[in-house]
Amino acid sequence: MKKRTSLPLKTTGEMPPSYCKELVPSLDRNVETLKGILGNADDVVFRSFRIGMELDAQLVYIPDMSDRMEIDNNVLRPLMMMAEGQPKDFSSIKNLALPIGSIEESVDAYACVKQLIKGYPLLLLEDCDRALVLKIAKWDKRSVEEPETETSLRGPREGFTESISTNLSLMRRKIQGVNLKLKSLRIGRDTETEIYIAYMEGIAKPAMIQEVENRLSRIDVDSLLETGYIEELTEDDPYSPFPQQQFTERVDIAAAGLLEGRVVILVDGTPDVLIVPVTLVTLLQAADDYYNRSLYSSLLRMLRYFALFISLMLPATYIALLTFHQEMIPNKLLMSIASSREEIPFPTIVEVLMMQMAFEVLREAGLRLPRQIGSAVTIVGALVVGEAAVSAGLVSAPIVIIIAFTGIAGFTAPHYSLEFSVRLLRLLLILAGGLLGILGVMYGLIAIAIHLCTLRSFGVPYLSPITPFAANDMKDAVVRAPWWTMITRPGYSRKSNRRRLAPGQRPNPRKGGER
Amino acid sequence: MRKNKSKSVLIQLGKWLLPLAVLLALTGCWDSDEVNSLAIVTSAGIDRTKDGAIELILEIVAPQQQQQQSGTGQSSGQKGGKGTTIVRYAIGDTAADAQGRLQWKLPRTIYWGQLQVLVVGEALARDGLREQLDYLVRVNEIRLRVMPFVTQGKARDFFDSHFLLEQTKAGFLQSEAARVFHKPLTLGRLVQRLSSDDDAAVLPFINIPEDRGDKGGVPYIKGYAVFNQGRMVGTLTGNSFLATKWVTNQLKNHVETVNVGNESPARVTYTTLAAKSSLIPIRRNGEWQLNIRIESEINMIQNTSRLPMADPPNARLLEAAAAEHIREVVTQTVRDTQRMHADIFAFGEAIKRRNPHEWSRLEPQWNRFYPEMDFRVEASVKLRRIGMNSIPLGRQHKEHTKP
Repeated sequence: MKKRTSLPLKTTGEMPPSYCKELVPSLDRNVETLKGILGNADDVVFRSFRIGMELDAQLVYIPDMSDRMEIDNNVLRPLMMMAEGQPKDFSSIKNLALPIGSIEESVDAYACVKQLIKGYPLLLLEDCDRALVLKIAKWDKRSVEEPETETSLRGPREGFTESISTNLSLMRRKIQGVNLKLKSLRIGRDTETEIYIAYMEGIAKPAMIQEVENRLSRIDVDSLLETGYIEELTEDDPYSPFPQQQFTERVDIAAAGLLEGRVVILVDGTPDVLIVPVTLVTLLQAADDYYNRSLYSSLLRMLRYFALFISLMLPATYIALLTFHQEMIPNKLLMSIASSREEIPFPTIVEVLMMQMAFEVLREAGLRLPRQIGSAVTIVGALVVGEAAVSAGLVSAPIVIIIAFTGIAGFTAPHYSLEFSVRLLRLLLILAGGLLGILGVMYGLIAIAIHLCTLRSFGVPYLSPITPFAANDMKDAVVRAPWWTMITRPGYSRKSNRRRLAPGQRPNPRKGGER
Repeated sequence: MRKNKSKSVLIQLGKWLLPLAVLLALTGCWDSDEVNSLAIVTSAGIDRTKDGAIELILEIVAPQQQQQQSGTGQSSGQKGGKGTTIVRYAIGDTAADAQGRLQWKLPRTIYWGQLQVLVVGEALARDGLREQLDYLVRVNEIRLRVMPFVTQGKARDFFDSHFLLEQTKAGFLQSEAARVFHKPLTLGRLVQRLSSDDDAAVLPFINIPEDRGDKGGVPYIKGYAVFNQGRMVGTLTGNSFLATKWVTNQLKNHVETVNVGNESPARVTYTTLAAKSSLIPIRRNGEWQLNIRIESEINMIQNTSRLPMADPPNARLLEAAAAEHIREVVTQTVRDTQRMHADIFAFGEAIKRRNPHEWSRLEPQWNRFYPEMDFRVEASVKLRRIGMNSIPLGRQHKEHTKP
């Protein structure tokens, strides 16, 4: 393999010294310099005008990335209307003439171009060796909406957007304490994507923050379009079927993660943020769990565990029982299964794989198709495939039920990255069950268990708090204990500051009279 | 360098694939059987033909009705209703041999895993069941939860009889046993009993009523077949059947009528709510004696006497009558079994538990000792419920005060 040529790579923003080009005290030459750096950038507007009929100036901006109104009203108007006697040197223009919130100076042409590309207009003056960067960028962005992939009955509806500044403000609004820290860095040679590491100081383990930073600083890529890039580049076990980082579009989930001592990674240009570390237990916690009353939440959470297990095991168990262990099926059930299988030309495993594939194809098609057609295709497809396949004698009726139930049970997973892994493992178990019967299914389960025991996410055991057992954290594992019992934070938060709420807050009628 | 790398990748891949390949070769799909390649046996019958051969009758699940053809001339598919099973039989030297012969005539593999009931013909039962039982216990597919029965006459008669309530004959016998017994006997228990020291056992005994016209009667569990040394030596029916169930704690759905007092229409019918019996061996004058203690609680459902049972003295009267009845039938039944030399109530077992040392002395002559053994039946009955009507119908309240 060819050794990688060392390119002048820098992921953190500043240009190398050889790329520096100082501005000179000549407007024309500076404009030439900028045009030279920009090359064929025809979308950049160079607006030349005269300040107060005396001083030549150039306003350089990219139309749809800057606030047009602001340029017209707060830059061009005051400058052009300047009276003759007013001082027109650089600092007085900056300090007196421009009613704009944020202005920077720059002396380097390359730095100017970078700012320009971000959408900040540049103001160049005659006989001045520095430029003004007017921070009035504005581009089209989506408004804050409810994330469609993560809905809940109760709780906030707002979700992250593609704009990182919006996302940061959403986070800040959720957590208004000063302990919310946001560290910025840039990754991607070409995209120079802005990334923020968010954590709660004093709650997140410093070692965890350091580990996240280390792993992120190791990344050296040309582009970073989605958090998925980061996920795959910083995973603990890249070939594990289980997700080792959680992504979410919901602000409240990210905020809750922060408050449990986890670290959130925000990437510009995507509404998905990453939360690390994760455990299997956290992937089964839905946001609703914490908003609904604990009894319901606990029941639903247990249901979710059960459904996930069913989703993983049901088809494999069915094949194993039907082809190897018929004695384990109750007599009457076996008779009815036998009579429904009587005309089926395929072995059970082929039947299951066929239906499973049909189900996955429908699902994928439903995802890819335009939304309006998508739902129609899924429903029609399910009806057609299920009903017609049974009546044509291609598959037996129990299979349709089993595959449908399996698929639906999988959808109970609150974070669908976990559902992906279950789908994958289900397929393996189906093959194992078809080849070796219950023995194979058990082999598969044992293999999964061993793998889960070895897996870690940013150093946190994946199965904690179940194994290694942490009795204190079981309050939020299989059940969701009432809020007044959630006195401590989970085990991956900083040890010296575990206390989450004051003990003894259990409501009681006798407490009502306190005065 | 490039070559090396691809080679090492191959080796890596091989390291993973090889164990997988070995794993597949070790055990695998040849054990698998699709459900529709199996002849699922739900009930089996074993009988002895006149010339001493063994006849095996299998009731096989027929997933579809069209399998009614009787190509071999030996099938007797069920007619009418939903014919969900077919019956096939074959004759061989042993049960296993017959099974092998039956397999020749069946396109599907005989699958024993769903066997639920075993019906033994009377001829075979009297001749000795143990030898054929060996096959059923030996085959690893057969579960020990199979319920064994003995049928009156030929086992084939049972399989040819008609009944419409249940889909299969196995289902019929199962629900029948669940109706009659508290906890139906299983093959596992039977084998235990037959290999215990007492070497006596009871099996439910099915009676097939005589044909009335072209319709055969519906079979039912009539009593117990008594086995001694692996052979059927007699039956316990009627009151003896009841008494046996009393002593073995198998009583269920049981209605009984006794006479109370001296008035002429004085029959009282009751059901048993709870019954418990225990065997207590005691030494008396150097001889073993067995106390059979039966405690039961009853619920009166009809009172044709003129005695209001709400009165404690009258209730005592009924309790005494019921207890006397139990004592009578149990005593009679134990006498019968003593006559048959069959220790079906496991008296020997009770003595062994009380005094294992003594038992080792008794055991060799137990068969001789048992028929002469002394026993006592203690019955205590408690009237728990008398129903909604506290005073017998049509009886004037005033008459009550008359002595």
